[in-house]
Parts: sequence; structure tokens; C-alpha cells
Amino acid sequence: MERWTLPGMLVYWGIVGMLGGIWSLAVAVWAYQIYHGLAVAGLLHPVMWGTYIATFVFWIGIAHSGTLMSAILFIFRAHWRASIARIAETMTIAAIMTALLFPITHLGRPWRAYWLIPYPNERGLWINFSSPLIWDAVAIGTYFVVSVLFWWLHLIPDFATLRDHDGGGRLRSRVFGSLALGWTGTAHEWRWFRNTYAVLAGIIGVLVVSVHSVVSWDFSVAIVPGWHSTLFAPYFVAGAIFSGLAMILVLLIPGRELLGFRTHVTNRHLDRVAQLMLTLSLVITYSYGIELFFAFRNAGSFEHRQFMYRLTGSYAPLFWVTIACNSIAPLIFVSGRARRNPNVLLAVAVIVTLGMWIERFLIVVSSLAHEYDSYSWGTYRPTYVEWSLVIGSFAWFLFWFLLILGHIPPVPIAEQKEEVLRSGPGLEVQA
Amino acid sequence: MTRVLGIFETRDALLDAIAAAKRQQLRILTALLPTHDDEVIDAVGVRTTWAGRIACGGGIIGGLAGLLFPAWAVEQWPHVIVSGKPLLSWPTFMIISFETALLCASLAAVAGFLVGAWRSRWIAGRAGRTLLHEARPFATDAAFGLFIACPAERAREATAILETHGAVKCHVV
Repeated sequence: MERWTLPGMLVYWGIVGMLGGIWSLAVAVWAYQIYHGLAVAGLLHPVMWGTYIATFVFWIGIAHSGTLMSAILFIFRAHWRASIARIAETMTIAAIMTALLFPITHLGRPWRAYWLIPYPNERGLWINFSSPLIWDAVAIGTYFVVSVLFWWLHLIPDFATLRDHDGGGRLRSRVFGSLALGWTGTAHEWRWFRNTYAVLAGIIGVLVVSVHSVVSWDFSVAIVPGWHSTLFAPYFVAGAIFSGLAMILVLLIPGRELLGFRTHVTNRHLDRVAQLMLTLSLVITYSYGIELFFAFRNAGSFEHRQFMYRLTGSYAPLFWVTIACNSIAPLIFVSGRARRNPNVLLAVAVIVTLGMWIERFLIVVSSLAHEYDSYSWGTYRPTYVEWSLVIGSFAWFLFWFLLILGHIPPVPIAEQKEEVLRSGPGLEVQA
Repeated sequence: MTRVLGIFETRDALLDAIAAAKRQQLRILTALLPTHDDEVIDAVGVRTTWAGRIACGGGIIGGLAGLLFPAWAVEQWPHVIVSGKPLLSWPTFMIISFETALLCASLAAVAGFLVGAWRSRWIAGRAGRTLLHEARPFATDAAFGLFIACPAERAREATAILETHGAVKCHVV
């Protein structure tokens, strides 16, 4: 593992400290909201689900791509996986930790968040297992646990390497030793490790599709025009992977400079991620088209009027920005030169990340703002409280991402050794 | 039984030593590897694990629990109708059941891994574990190891075989 230089450490801790400061301010704003009630957020009838739920869906989407990518590339034995797997998995964990905050923030009385956990209350009533919100809690809780297991299992041989060779003092060695759980590197351990990892990779593949489908059912089981569609599950899954890939690029490009793994994450790896993004962008564009096609096929229906509202109503500028960000901007990746240019990649990835947040916002807000009866129509604008918490969530996410990745090998050591053994003359013994 | 551990710098030397140990009918306990290597693992004779079956068992238990727990919980309710749906709403419980199946399958797989990995070290015996513990830094770096069990009178022969095939260090306990 490369040792950090003093300037490198100062930059790292400076950024982590700054991010910690930003999310601390967001916590203060949240405390203000708790004290004064949800009225200080812009949530009023008819739009009772606003920025918080949109941001929750956005972060869950980001979370989905990381582990899925790592798992799928493992199953298909893609050798370039090793360079991005650890970063993608860490991103998933930080993103779920961020997403889980939003349903709680959305509660007027967040200290009752535990009501979502299956337990009998004092009246003998259990939670309503038929509610999609409970499915959500079960699905996301499962995803978080399995993602952490997958990430940690992958780290065990690396923790053992750090335990024996880190040289950062007895305390660090002990911590890494505890996390490595006595890993010795016997042939039996490697076989168990690889088989278990393959099983978890298979489970993750299924889990990602199921969890984001469940998140989409929060909307699609409600009889709200713009939500009540069987398209939602695949549409949400594709959107989740798309936004996650964009976030991987946003993190990888500056991260490889900051955390010093430029030699491991090359432009070739970024090119592959960009190719996947282009494919997902086409899937998303197809979903937008299909959604509009079915809405307009039933001219005069509530669905038709809902989509006319999206195209021409109060939120129309956001709709067209979404199309520009998610359908048009990624088309530049048709060019191989653009895919290998880190600046272009970063710019498009930021645009897509923004576009996917706006898309989630549009789905949540425009449908509620323009339901069946015209007397209950309304518009919604987020207040500074909601904006503060959204910005704070990005700081919170990056804070945990950098903090975790700064203390573990950002590239799997064991897999790098495997690559060297496969391609070269052999490994060089240092001990 | 005496245990002999040889440390090798290259994978090829380890494979040669495994083949020689087998020819001399020495019992190979395990090999130490810096990374996953199917060829060496197969040469040592490590059989496939039960990871898939354990996960499958965990999944079945989790799936049943996810189906029966909501049903049992709902049965505790007074007879109120929630949002017009039947109390025992199996289609909706299936979603919970599916997620808990995946959760329990993953937990069972990792538990299986922990037990399997621990067991593989445990069978080396107390003296063997001490030897493995000392050899750990070699394997977590880039070296390879071969761990052999033999009667005390064959220890010298085993050491000679390992050294002939490129072992840079040998330990006998």
C-alpha cells in the first residue's frame, strides 16, 4: 500500500473536514425543521412527497449500481473489474447510508421512525405488511446488510495483508487483524472465500433488481396518474444503474488523483464505464418514449393529461432538462475520443447525475401536483430547508465515501496479485 | 504426527513440491497462497465447498420466515380491515418473503464461510496452527507454502523433498 505524503494527507483531511462541516450545518437545519415542524419545508397539499422522497429514490438508485457492477463483472470474470470494484462497493455503502436518512427526515416526528420495524406496539397492532413502505424498509434493509457483507468479504484477504504488512502501529494491526478474522491464506480458505463470494454475487444480482422494483412500487401501486404503471420497475432499475454509473465516474476521476490509484484506474477502465452508461442511456430514453406513447395512446385520459402537464405545464422546463441530461448528453460517448477524455467523462457524468435527480423530482412532484380533480391541483417548490438537506446529503455521502476509502485499500490487493500471477512471471516476495 | 511447512517463492516450485509429496504418499494438509489459484487448490485436493447448499438452506428458512411471520403477526391484530385488503394478503407477503429469503441466504453463506475457514485452520491441530500463524506474513505477502503431515520418522524425508523442489524455508513441529 502506498504511503501518503504529508501534503496528500493534509488535502485529504482538509476535504473530509470540510464535508463534515457542511453536513453538520445540514443537521442544524434539520434540527430547525424538527423544532418548527414540516411546515418549514415546502410540503403542502397536494404535494406531500417532495424533495426528500425524490432524493431518497435518487440515492437508492446510486447505491444500486456499485455493488451490482462489482457482482456482475465478477460473474462474467471481467479482468478489469479489480480496478473499480472496491470503489463501486464503497460507494454503495455510503449511498445507502445517505438514502436511509431521507425517509426519517421526511417524518415530522423522526423519533418514531422505529415504527417501521416489525414489532408489536402497546395496542397489540403490528405494522401493515401490505404497505409498500414496509416492503421498502425490508428490501432496503436487506440490500444494506448484503452489500456490507459483500464488501467486507471481499476485504478479508486485504485486511490480512494490512494486518501483517501495514506497519502503521500495533493498534492499526489489531484493528485489521480483528477484521481479517484470522485469515491465513490456506487453500481451503481461498476455496470457501471464492465460492461464498460467487454465491453473494449471484444473490446481489437478483437483489438489486428486486429492491429497486420494490422502491418503484411505492409509486406504481398508488392510483396516481403518472405513477400507476407496470413500466416503473424496469424503468427504475435501469435509471438506478445509469445514475450509479455516472456517480462512479464522478468519484473515480478526481478520486484516483486524490487517493493515488491512477495507475490502477486507467482511461481504458473509464472507457468501459462510459460504454455501459451509453447503453443505459438508450434504455432510459426508450423508457421515456414508451411512457409517453402509452399516455398518448389513451387520449383524454387522466394519464394523457398528466403527461401533457409534464411536457407543457409548470414543471415542463425540468422535463426538457431531464431529456437533455439523460438522453442527449450521453450520446457523446458514441465517440471513442470522448470516452477516453477524463474531462469530458466527468462533465457528462455530472450532467447525468443532475439529470437523474431532476427526473426523480419530476416523477414524485409533477404527478402529485396534477392528480384527478382540478380543484386539488397545485405547485410545489422546495424551500431553503430542503435544499440545505439535499446539499448536506451530498456532503454526508462524500464524507463517508472518502473516510472509508481512505482507510482501506482502494483497489483489491488479492485480485491485483491474481492479475500479476495470471499475466506475468510471478510475484515478488517482500517479507 | 509431525507437521512440516515449506515456504516457496514461486508458484511453479509449489506445484512441483505438491506433485512430489503426492508421489511419496505424504499427507498434504493444505497450501498457503497469496491469492486465489484454482490450479493449486485442485492440486492440494480441496473439494468443492457447501457454500451454495448452505445459502440455499438459509434462503428456504428465510423465505418461510418471511411468509409466516407477517401472517402470524397479522393474526394478532384485532379484526380491522386495513385499506380494504384482506388481512392475510399472501401476494404482498411474497415480496417480504423474497427479500428475507435473500437476506437469510446471504447471512447463511457468510456464516458457512466463517465456519469453513475456521475449520480448515482448526484441523491443522494446535502445533500446526502455531506454524500457520507464523507463516501467515509470507502468504499474505507474495510467497507460497505447503503444509504436510507425516509420521515423525519421515519428517527429515519430507523436509528434503520440500527443499529439493525449491522451498526457501522449512519448519518442523
